[in-house]
Amino acid sequence: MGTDIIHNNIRKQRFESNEMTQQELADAAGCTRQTIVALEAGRYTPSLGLAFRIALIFSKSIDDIFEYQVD
Amino acid sequence: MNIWLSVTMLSAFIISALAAYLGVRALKNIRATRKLNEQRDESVKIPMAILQQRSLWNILSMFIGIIVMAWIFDGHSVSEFFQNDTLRISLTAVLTATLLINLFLMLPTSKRGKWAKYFDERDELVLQRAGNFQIVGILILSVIWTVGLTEYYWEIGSIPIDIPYLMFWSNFLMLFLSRSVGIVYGYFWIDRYGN
Repeated sequence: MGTDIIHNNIRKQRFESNEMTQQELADAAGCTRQTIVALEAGRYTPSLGLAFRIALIFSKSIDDIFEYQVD
Repeated sequence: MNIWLSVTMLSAFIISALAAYLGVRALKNIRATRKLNEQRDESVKIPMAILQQRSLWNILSMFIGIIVMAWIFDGHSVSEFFQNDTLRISLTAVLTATLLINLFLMLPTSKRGKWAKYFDERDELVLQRAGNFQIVGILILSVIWTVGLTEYYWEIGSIPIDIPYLMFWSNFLMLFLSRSVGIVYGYFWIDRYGN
């Protein structure tokens, strides 16, 4: 079994949503700004619940935000 | 062959095999992590979480508390503990203060209440993993107490009644100290290698 790699385009989505700040996204998603920073830097894989919440905030499907890749 | 020699050799073999297995697993993880790191933006500095900051302060306050207790205890024997009221009250006061500071500093460890905005699933993950540090910390302390007491009181054949009391205190301190160390290490790990 390979290594799971999950890419995301949260940063791009934030800027496309009226340049939403990390703090605003964190407040809306119910997490801390540190988690958003870690997510954008690809250094944290969110839970399914948080991934769905973030997708809902941007009115997108989870596939539009997160991309799964097996190494 | 002496039975104890056989037991020792078997234990040494099991421990060596376990160490080799853990070593190979760690090397595999490092290799996998390197591949993952190629995908990551290493230039981004993740700000310190509230729990991480408070854990660092907690480690500092606990070390100060332990140093003060050692300073108060310096020059006294263990058997004096229940005889000398000033010594006992001073040590109890410092221990209580240290534990109260720990309690205050480690408040943001729940998703409920007013601390919820400072604590999320990432912090929860770090906090869960810190439990392993508590187990290891208590085990190490137990080994130190066991070896120390058996070596020191071997000839006498019994230990002073004060010792179990001090053991309980030290376990209590280690429980909170090792949790904070586990939290700080957990953030160090998760910030660099992800979850």
